[in-house]
Amino acid sequence: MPSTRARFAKALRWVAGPAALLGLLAWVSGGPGPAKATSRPDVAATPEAAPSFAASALGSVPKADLSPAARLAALADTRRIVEERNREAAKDRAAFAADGWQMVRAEAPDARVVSLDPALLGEGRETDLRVQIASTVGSPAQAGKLADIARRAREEETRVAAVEALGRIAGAEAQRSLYDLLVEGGLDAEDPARRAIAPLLRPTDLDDPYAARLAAQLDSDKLTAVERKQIAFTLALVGLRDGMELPPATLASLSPRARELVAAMTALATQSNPASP
Amino acid sequence: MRSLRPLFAIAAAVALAAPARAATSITSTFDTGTINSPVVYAALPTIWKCVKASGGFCGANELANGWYKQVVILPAGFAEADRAAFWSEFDKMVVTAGDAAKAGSSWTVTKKSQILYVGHFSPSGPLNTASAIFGAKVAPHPVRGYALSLSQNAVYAKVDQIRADIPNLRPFGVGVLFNTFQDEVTANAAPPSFVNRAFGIAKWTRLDLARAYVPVHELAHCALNFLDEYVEAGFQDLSIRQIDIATPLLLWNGTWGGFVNAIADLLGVYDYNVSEMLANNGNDNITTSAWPTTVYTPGFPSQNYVYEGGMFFGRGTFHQQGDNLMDGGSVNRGPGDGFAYAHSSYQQQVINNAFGAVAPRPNDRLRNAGPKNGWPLAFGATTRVMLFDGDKNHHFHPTQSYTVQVGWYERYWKTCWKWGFIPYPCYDDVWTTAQRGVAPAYRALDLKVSAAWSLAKLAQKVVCAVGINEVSSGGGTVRLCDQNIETMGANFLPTVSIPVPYQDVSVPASQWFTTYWWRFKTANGRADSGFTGWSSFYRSL
Repeated sequence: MPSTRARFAKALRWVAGPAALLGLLAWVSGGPGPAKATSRPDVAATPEAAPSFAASALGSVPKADLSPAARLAALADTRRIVEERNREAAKDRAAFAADGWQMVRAEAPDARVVSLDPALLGEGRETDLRVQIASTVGSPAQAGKLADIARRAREEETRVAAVEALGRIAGAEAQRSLYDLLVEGGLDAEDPARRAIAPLLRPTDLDDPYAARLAAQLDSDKLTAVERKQIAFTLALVGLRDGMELPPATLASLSPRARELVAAMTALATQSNPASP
Repeated sequence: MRSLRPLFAIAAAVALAAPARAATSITSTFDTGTINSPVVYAALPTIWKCVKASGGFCGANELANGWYKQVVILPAGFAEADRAAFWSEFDKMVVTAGDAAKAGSSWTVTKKSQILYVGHFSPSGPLNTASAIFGAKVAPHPVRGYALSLSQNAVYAKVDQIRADIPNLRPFGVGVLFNTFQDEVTANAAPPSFVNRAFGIAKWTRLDLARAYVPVHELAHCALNFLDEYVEAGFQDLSIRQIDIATPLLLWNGTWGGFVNAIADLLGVYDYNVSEMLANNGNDNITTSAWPTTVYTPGFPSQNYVYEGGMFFGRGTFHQQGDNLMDGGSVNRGPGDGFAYAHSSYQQQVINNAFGAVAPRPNDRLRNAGPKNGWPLAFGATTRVMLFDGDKNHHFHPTQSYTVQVGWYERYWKTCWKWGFIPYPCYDDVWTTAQRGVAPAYRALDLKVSAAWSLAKLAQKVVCAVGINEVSSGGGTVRLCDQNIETMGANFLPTVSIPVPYQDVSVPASQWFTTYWWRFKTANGRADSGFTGWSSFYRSL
């Protein structure tokens, strides 16, 4: 009777051998995979340095013992595929040319800049990061990085740009980042970046649970009086826009002072000749 | 006297119709070749006259010379019997506005050598009557007491009519003098970029001429396109960014062509905001960021608008440090945040530019406004990208062209060899960039007051503060600031069309499952801006 070890070694030969062969063939044929820059932009697509060489799985799997005739056939097959693919790729350029565009040379996007890598702050590239932030609109997935930059950037201009960029991103993630920055971000109340936050806090509507969270801040001593007034004004405007009021439970949870503030801001937006509240 | 008036009119018309002779000036400021010679001026009831701010009369030569800027003054509510009174007020205003002792270093003083004041008299019925020229009246103001109201279209038509008499009339700004000494009346003016005109219209009363402030300030609105840097009472702590929650109420109108139909949820795809339309839209002295420069242009440092407040709101708008003509004392955030008959350095740059100097900076207040990064929806074969350009509607250095670049990684397929003898297809990812120039085109959004009824009072206050006092509707005009919103609503609610600082560009991105990158820059005739950062959009199906 063979020992257990021998049986295992025999089995391993039958498993590892074919697996290695399959791996080899897979490596030879490669995998087209999506090009880096063509991945789904559910998060912002990030270009990376294009590889100088990329293998493809197209064509039949070659064999090491190809006959000369088979090699010629494989070469013809490959060339046909190359031509077909290049014709297809050329259609994009043709579409641009037909629309009056000219092909020019330009540097590809810097992957770290367009992905808003906060580490650039420590590498003397804060200006590059700021231009990217201020002159584009970020994605929801970048909200965390923007909040990080708003906290860490050395220059006021960059911190403010990061906060404003968060305000341009629709959706809960950016709102959550802004809210956290205001309530527990550690920014000084006189920091221009901090002062820019409260006006950008916007619930979808007054039934949105986020509206209740914002309303609760009307009684928070972590916020300045100006910030509380701004939040109350936003709640008033959203209510007027949608013809809604804060839910009774939310209103009941507020102090009388907070409720008065919301009422005063509503009056301010609806009076023809407002008096300063 | 009455029977002689037609003769005077005929004589004046003949004189006006005659081609202006070459100036035979006695002095450099005295043109004897036109109806404006003092001799004729003394003999005829003056219909119009042209005077230099620096003193003396001007004529055809100066009017034809683009180096001069023409400020036109028209009367409202002056009867024939008030003709002399109008000219007296006209002369007083010209002297006061150019007097350094009264107007300090305001633009009407520092640029007086280049300013021509052209007055033109038309008799009118009394204010607040049907026979008042331009429908002029003193009306209740939606924010403060009373305001001066008129049909701006009627004024523009009048200027066109006068141009038939004075072919070289090219108003830099138009002021209308109301024949009243009523107190507590708010003068006002429309900046030209908001009404999409070559010049705006300012209004003031005879009482306002007691000081230089009102005419010089209001003319700065209508001629220099400046906004107020002071803040409305009650709004000291509130930010203009907060009214962006009303952005969904704005409707895309016909100026966008088929663009609107192509994409249903524009708000979710593009980043456009009411606040930018009101306060980052070519008015230059007010922005929505303390650092409005968003791109890097070699040789042009970033601008910094230090103080917060202006254009109605105390927060979210910014102006530069320096006591000046457009500021006030309602909110003072530090030294140099108050009123003076002077200008901040950025205002002065605009003034110099308006009077012939080159644009002081590139149009560098830019943003890729969408599709927003990460937008996951499918496009057709063509994608529309949106450009935000805070200087698109700049009155003195508007953007003349955009350069848009679109890039993508194109697969260049080739034959590769494994072990030197096995051919297979492989590719290089090659960065490819296409570029095209795009001319700016007028784009506007509509605010239907009926759709914004619950916010109509606030909307009315804000658009009146900007200077949009009148809108066209059904072949007629509606004056927005004459009546309260309930009265207006009892009749019908108008639609306000707002020129916007956005430009759409069509991109023929045809490859499926490809990420395209894009950016743009501007040219304003003097300087090209730097490019914006790269933004991406994904072409699925």
